[in-house]
Amino acid sequence: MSASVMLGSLYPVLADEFGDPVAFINGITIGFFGGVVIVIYELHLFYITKSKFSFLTQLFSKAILYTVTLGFIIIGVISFTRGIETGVGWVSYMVSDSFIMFLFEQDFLVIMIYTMLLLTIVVLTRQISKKMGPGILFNFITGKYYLPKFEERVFLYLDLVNSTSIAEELGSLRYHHFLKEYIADLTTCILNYRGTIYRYVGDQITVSWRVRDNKTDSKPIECFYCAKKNLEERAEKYFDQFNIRPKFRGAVDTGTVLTGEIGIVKSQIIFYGDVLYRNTLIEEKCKADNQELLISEYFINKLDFESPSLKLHGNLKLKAGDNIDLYRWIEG
Amino acid sequence: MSISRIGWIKLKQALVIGLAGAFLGFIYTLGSDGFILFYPHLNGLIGGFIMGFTLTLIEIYLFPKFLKKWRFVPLLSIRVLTYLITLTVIMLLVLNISRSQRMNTDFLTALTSVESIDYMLYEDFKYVEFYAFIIALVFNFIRLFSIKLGYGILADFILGRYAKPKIVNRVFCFINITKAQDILINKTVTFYHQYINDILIDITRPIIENNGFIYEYVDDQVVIYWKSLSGWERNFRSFLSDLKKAINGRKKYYLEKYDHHPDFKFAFHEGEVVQGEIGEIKTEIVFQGDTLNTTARIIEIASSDNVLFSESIYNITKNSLEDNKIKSLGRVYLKGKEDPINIYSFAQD
Repeated sequence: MSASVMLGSLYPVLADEFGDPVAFINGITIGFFGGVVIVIYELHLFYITKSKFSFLTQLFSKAILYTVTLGFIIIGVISFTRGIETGVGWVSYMVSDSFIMFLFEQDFLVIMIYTMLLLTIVVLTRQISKKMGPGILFNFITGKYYLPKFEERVFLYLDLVNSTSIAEELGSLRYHHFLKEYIADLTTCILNYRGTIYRYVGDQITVSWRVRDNKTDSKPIECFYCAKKNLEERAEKYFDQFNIRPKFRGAVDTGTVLTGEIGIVKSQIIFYGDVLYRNTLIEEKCKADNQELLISEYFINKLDFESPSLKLHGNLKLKAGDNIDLYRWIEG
Repeated sequence: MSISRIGWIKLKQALVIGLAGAFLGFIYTLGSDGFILFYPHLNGLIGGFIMGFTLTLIEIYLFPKFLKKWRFVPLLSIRVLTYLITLTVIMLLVLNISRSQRMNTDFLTALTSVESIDYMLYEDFKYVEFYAFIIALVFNFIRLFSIKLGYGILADFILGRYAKPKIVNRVFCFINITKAQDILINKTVTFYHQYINDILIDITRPIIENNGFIYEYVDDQVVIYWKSLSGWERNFRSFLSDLKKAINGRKKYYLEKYDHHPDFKFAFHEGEVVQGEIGEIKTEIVFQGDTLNTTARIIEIASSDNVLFSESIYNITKNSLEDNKIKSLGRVYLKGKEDPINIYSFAQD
C-alpha cells in the first residue's frame, strides 16, 4: 500500500525533465491521485483474492487495469491545468487542437509507456511481497535476520479438528481445495489483527506477533475469535461444498525465540524456542480437555489489561517437570 | 575445488541476471536508437550484461558483510548509492570504450569529448541511468523472491504451474541430522542454528547437482524431492555418495567448531501427492498426501547412518545396486498405519 503511494509521488521526479513548473504540478497531482486510486483498488478489489489465476495473469491484468485508469487521470489532470493555463475552460481545452496533438503526436505516448513500466514494477513488487508474506521481503532486503536475533514473540497455533478424517473423506485434491479455503478465511483475520504467518504444516498454522515493551495485548485472542466467527458465518458454504463443518483449536503462548534465516537456495525465516514446543503441548491439552482455546500464563502475565473473561483453567505439566497455568477465555 | 562450495550457485545467479541485463539493455537501445546504427546495440548488450552481472555479485558478496553492521536507513542509502555509482561507472566505461574505438582515440579523450559531454548532460544519459536503476532494483527483488521459493521453482511459479492443484508423482527423501539435539541441549541455540545452517549449505550442492529440490526444513530435518523417476537410480547413488564426500571433506571444520561431526539418516519413498499453493498472503507451494506422511514415518524408525526406503524405491533401484548392500527389514508397522509395509535398508560404504 505504502509502496503504491510512494511511487505515486515519485512521478514528479520524472516530470522534472520537462523542466517547467506546471508539468511539475501535473506530475505531483497525477502521482497523488494515481496512488490513491491504486490503494483503493488494492484494498477493496484485490484484497484477498482466492485467485485461480497464475502469477503472470494477475500481474498483466492488474498492470493493464491500473495503466488504463491512470491514463484517464493523466488526461483529466493535464487538460485541467492546461485549461487554466490557456485561460480556456476545461472542456473546451479537451476538444482543442493542441490537446488532440498532445494526445496523439507528442508526449502522451511516452508518458503512458513510463506509466505502464512503473505500474508493472509496482504491481510486480507488491505481488512478490504478498506471496512472501507482508514484511518478509522487507526483512530479506534489509537483512534483518541475516544474523540470527533473539526476540520475544507471541505465538498462536491453530489446528484443524479431525484433519485426518477430513482428508480421508475428501480425498487428496478436494482436501487441498478445502484447506485453501480454510486458510484463506483464517488469513483475513490474521491480516486484520496484524499477525505474521510463520508457517503452515498441513492443516496447522502458526501465527506470531512481536512483543513490544514486554507487554502483550489482546490481538492474538481477538484474532482467534475473529477466525472462529468467520468460519461460523461460512459454515453453510463449507457444508455445501465439502460436507464438512470445520472447527479448530488454538493455543497462545509467548517466549523468547531465536530468529534466523536458514538455507541458501531456499531461504526460510525460522524460529527456535521452547515456546513453539509448548504451544503444541497446550493444544494437545485443548484436545484432552475439550477446550477450543487455551492461553499460557506467560502470556497472561504480560497482558496490558485485566479481564474478567479470562478464567484459570488448569495446569499443564511440561517436559522438564515444570508446571504452567493455562487460562481460557469466556466469550460474551 | 576451484570454486567455493556455494560460489558456483551464486556465479550462476550473476550470469543469469547478467544475461537478462543484456537483453533489457538491447530492448532499450532498440527503443531509443532504432535500427540505423549498430554500436548502440552493442553498448546496450554489453553494458546491460556487465551491469547485471556486477550488481548481482555485489549483492551476493559485498552487502552481506555490511548487513551485519548497519541499520536500515543507512543501509538503504548505501545500497542506492552503490547501485548508482556502479551503474554510472560501467555505463561511462562501456560507452566511452566503444566511443574511443569509433573515434579512433584513447579512452580519456573519448570520455572528455564533446559528444560524450553532450550525451551526459543533454541526452539520454539520465534516462538510461534511471531505467537501469529501476531494473536493477526489480531484479534484486526477484532474486530474493527466487531464493525464498527455492532453487528452480521461480519459473514454474510465475507461469502458474502451481496455481491449480494437481496430482503428481514425486520421490521424497527425509534427511535427519542425527544427534543435532545434543548440540541444542549442551550449547546455545545460536550455536545450534549455525550448525544446522552450515550443514544445509554443505548438502545443498549434492542435492542440486543430483537433480533434487529442497522442499522444506523442519527443526533438524530437511525434506527434498525429485521430480522425475527416469534414471533416478543413478541420482540416488550419486546423491548419497556426493553428500558423504561433501560432509567428510569438512570433517575438520565441524570437529573444530562444533565438536561434532554431522551424521545423517535417510528415508526414501515415492508416490502421488497433491501439489498446489496454499495461503493468500505468504503463499507456499505445498505437497500433501499419504506419500509424505509415510516417508515421515519411515525416518522415525531409522537409526544412525541408516538409509531406508520403501518397496517402490526398492523396485527402482534394485537392479543398479549390489545385492549384498540391500537388506530387507521385512514388513514393518508404521505409526498410524494399519497395514505394515516392506522396508529395505541400504548399506553405504
